[in-house]
Amino acid sequence: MSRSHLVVVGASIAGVTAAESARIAGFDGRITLVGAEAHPPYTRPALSKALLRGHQSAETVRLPPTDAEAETRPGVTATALDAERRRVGLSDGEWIEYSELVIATGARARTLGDLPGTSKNGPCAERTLRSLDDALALRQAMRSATSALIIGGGFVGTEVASACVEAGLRTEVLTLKSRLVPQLGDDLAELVTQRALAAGLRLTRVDGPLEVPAGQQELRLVCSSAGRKEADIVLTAVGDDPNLEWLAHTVITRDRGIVVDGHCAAAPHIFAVGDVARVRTGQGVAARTPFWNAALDQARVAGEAVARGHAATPYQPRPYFWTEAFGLTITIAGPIPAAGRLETLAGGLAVGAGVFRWDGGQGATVATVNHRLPIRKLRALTSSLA
Amino acid sequence: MKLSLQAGRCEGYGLCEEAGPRVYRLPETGNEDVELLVTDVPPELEDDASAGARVCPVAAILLSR
Repeated sequence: MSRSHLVVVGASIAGVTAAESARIAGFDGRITLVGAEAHPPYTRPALSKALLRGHQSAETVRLPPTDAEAETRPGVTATALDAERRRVGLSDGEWIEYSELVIATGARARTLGDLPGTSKNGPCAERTLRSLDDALALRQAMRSATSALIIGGGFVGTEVASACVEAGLRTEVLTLKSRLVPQLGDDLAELVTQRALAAGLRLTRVDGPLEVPAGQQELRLVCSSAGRKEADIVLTAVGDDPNLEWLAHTVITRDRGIVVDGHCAAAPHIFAVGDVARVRTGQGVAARTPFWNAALDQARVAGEAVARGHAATPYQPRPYFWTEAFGLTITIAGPIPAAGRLETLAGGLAVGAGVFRWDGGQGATVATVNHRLPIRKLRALTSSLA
Repeated sequence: MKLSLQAGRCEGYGLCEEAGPRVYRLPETGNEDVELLVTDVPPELEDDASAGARVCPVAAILLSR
């Protein structure tokens, strides 16, 4: 090959950031950005928040155009990898050669059919929330619906439930846990749950798998240990699975994610970043971290490594994320779920506003609730123990 | 390159400041929006400006050429 060619598969925040970071680090070859969706790259976190509540339009979730001078291939997926000949097969039949490859194919929403033990009787379309099209369709459906049933009480389920309650829908969440967003830790999960119940959400704990009765074109009815549940809108929000299938029978190590080293390299000349990646550390292989900031940081590392190889700064996890639901905006930095003794740095948990710190065994976690604090200051509070 | 803020959109997360510290500055306290240190972005700060705009969780930052 006469000139180097970076191919990035996946055009969401991780892919776009990897392309741009490679450029900034001095990569001067061609860049091609392959994206499965027809939409130009957009920001996903807003889909279950402002977009769903009608506060933001489809145009405003777009990512600013990249400066990477990349050729874009929208509406095309990668279907095969030939690492020996350094080329990627695309859904339109073409093979494109690369000198370096970044895999940022992300994850897809899990459905009930993916869960062990669920009996799904016959084909039945399930509504999930992952893409811009999913969010626009859900928002449209919310306009004519009177009831919503959300399966799963994690971040997506809770944010959607909040938007449904706000839109005046009779809303119920089915969850395996006693509280919403248990990932936040007991103190914050309890706060969110109390606010949700006060806003009129019905929270129902189920144990054991769900059953999807036969004869449904679109999922409207499920049977659970808590009885039959039916609603105009049923949304499945039970996590995500990495998009790995196209890498079967390749050199890539796949184990519920693409296993990468500290430079986000999965194999020579191949990097993986974002929701699809698992980083090998001194302690083993970390779980996937399907959060905005992890995707950004990994993409920056891989982009730099594309240009500079092992001289690039290795990846250091810096957990940070945010959620908005039931009138609470929460940002959190440090290990989750937050555990240990709660220390109030400002405000109070009882009034639902302030800054809070937990001194867990693996370092401090700091969170804000309805309190503006830039990420720089939040991070500083995780390391400056009083 | 021109940089501006969509009125009422900034929520003070500060990811822009982390990605582009030469262009964005968050106030130390209070509920003020991010401060844009430049609005006519010179070429040497374009990387900072676009990196910061891209990471905004609420897409509050507008860039135009």
